[in-house]
Amino acid sequence: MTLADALIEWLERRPAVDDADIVGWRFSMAEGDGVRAGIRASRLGGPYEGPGVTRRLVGTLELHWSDGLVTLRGLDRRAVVQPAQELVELRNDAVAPRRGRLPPLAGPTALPEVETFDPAVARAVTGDAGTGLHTLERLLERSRSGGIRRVDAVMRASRTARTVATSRGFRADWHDTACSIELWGDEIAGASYGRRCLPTASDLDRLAEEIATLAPCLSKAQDLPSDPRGVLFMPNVVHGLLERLVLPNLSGRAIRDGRSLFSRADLEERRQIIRADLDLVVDTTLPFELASAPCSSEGVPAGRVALIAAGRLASPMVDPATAADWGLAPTPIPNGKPPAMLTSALPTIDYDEALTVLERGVVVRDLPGLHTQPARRAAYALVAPDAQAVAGGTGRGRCAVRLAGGLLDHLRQPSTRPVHVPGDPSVGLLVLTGVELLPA
Amino acid sequence: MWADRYDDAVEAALAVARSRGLSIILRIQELRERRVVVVDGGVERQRTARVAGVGVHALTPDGAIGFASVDDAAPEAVRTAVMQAGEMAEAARSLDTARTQALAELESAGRVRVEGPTSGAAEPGADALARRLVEAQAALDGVDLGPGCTVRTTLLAVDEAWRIVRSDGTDVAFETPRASLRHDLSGQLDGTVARAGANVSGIDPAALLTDEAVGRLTRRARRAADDARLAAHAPAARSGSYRIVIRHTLAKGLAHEAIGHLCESDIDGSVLLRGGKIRLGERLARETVSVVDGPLPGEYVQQPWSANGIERRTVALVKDGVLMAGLGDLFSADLAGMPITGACRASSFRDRPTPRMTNIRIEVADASPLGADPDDLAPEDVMAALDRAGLLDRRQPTIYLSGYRGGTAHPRRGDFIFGTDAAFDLGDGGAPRAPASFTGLAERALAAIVAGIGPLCTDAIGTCTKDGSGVSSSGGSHALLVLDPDPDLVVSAAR
Repeated sequence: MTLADALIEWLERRPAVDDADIVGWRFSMAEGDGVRAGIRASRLGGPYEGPGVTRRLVGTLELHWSDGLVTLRGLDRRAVVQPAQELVELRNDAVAPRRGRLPPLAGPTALPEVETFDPAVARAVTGDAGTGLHTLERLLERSRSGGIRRVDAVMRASRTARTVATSRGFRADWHDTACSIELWGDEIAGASYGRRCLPTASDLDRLAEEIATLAPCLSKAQDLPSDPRGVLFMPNVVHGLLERLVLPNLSGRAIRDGRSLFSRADLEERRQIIRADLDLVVDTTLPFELASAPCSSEGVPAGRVALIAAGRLASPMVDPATAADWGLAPTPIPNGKPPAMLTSALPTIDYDEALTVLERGVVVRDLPGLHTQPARRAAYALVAPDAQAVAGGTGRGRCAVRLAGGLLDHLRQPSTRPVHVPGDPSVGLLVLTGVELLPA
Repeated sequence: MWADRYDDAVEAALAVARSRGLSIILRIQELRERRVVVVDGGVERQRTARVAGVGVHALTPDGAIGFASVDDAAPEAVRTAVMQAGEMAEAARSLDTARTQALAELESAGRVRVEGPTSGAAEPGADALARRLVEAQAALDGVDLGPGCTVRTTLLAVDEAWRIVRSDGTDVAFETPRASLRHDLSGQLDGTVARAGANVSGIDPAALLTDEAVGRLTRRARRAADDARLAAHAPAARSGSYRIVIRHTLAKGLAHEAIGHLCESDIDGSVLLRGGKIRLGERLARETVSVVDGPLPGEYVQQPWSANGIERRTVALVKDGVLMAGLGDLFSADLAGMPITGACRASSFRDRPTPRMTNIRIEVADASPLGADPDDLAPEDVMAALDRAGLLDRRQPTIYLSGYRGGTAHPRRGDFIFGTDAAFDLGDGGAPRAPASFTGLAERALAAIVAGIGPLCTDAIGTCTKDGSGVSSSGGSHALLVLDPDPDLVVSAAR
């Protein structure tokens, strides 16, 4: 019997404290192993980056009591193995739910097939202790042979068995894996990988090549070209901008509580907020992406939903409780990258063409401090210390810039172009209008 | 004592280590966290979480290192974790990995049991907590952030305890409880979303729910809301260099992100290191300015011993304007040219500890009186205080930044960025400006500090996410800190 089976068996006995018994429940449980190792200052391992393994059980347990109270508890191993010993404390943690309504519980439903498990990652986690170290050793060699003097990296991999179940008969069990690598060259050029499958040899080559190409450029300081035309935001920065400045405004709870730029009326009117060729889509079914899973921790099936379609508000991101309040279906919510994907009905341009169109400006690969910007204005005023100057349509040296603008405004401008970057399923954005750019 | 429950696990771990010729650092953590969120008078969420687990650093005799952790402190699970850490260390040993003999050179601290800093008062039940939070919200009646104003109130109460055991006989146990109570307000003002936040913090949730503490929180939240309302439709400040006046909350961010991190011994490329060694003895600020890190009694961040079982020292990183110390941990202090100060911390038994701050504050020796309640400082109070201190020059563009929204700094570049909820142009009679960013270089910011005004306010809190591991942090400065204009310190805002 698995730990999940044992917990269900206990919950189905309707345990009681005093006059109240458990009449409904939901839990999500994740039990697994992870490995981590790193490189610091071109040395593998050491006190901060030595190889390590971890074993963990985490999750959430929600209990509905017969007197209408609700308990929400983070699951730990002790609570799962000996739930009866936790019963009194679980009851003490119960409170009346907002507006007196019990959160809805998912019932039986069909779930889509989603590829989340790579046996090669699982073997790397539970097999030879040196697998991660050997991968890093290869990455170190390739980076050095590309001319990098100092290499820093962290690699993580995990395998997890997951269960989501409710008292209404919903149950999903699946396994997933994850692998991520962050690589830095000469403390200035970064590249990263994060998926549910192991990186291929060509993925590793791409990471090493990326930093080997970029580091020599960024090690030379360059002035911001005069009369700059705009900015090329690389895909991970576009993710960051969307995550900080757009997605919080599309959260159903934020809209309900007046913490969003948008109102319920805006949604109902399907207000046009960006250009008509653009969609913003959440997709939790993409093979081996970190965002993907057969269902959410509340049992919402995986799927693809357009939050913005043809530039108009199409759907908020709603959890089951907010969905019940509004009489809507709950939406899938990603738990990792990509948080949402921007797509265009118009053809994208590739990276080199984007540099040519930009002619004079900067490429931004990292935008520190994005979390300090007011999401509810969808605007930013930041410094990109490691931006790359573009002059004559070619990437040049490092050029620290101050930049300010509004993301929704960028997405309304006819001159803004989605940019395809090799090896990245998400797009970058070439912004030529509405971004203020100054030397920093 | 709670720590004694783990005696069998500790014995099991040490026995395995001995049999395999390993030296170990064992970290046992117990954590219980309760978070209650009330939105507009109703409980939005009440979640408790508990975890107990063990992390092991294992070192081979030649200094190769492996790590393992498990969320199960039973002797058998701990025994397995030590074996796994040993296997990891052996895997590292077979390759050209970094080595250290730092642990072998350490003296045992012996057996230490630190009494917990709690008040001993029993924590109220969940329902009672929720009712008290609803009452705290009711005290905000009349706050005007436009129609549809929403108030979200969050109580966080954490009971955390650690036992650190080393092969050399060190066996230290201590507790690090903390609690915070926060209001977040948001509303629509003619189509613009305005938001404001305020909090109070300490070690004991019951102390935060007293009338006095709730009253303080109410004053802070009302003031933050007033400032945010004024800024909602204000024009953006022109991007540029100003005399800058910051609150203690932003000063905590400045001290933590832009000074403290630069002094941590594992940040080998920090701008405050030269040739890998900390630049001790160099003047960084005026002689009235000091930056001090160390836990303060009763405040949010308590850590009397480090995660490697070394007593934590309170250190003046900058004393009388001169860089005098760093935050050194067992594994990197020597390399960075600083003594071990017991600075390493970990968020969880799963983390590899690194040097981290606790409560960090900027102190100015000749601070001026404030003449107002620090919890209810209107822009005109700030102008009056500056005027009295002889620092308000109407010809000098002066910006007062209110409402700290977080920030970040890059130790190797020495640059930082902080966000604020509102700005006021004191050179223009305190005219409001839109939410602004404050960016610049850490060393320039330190050198630019010309005055502190008001009492030391050290209860600003946050979560430090260095290396992806979130530990609690706190600190502050005088109620107001004044920085002179510098071309490398810039206030800007999106238009």
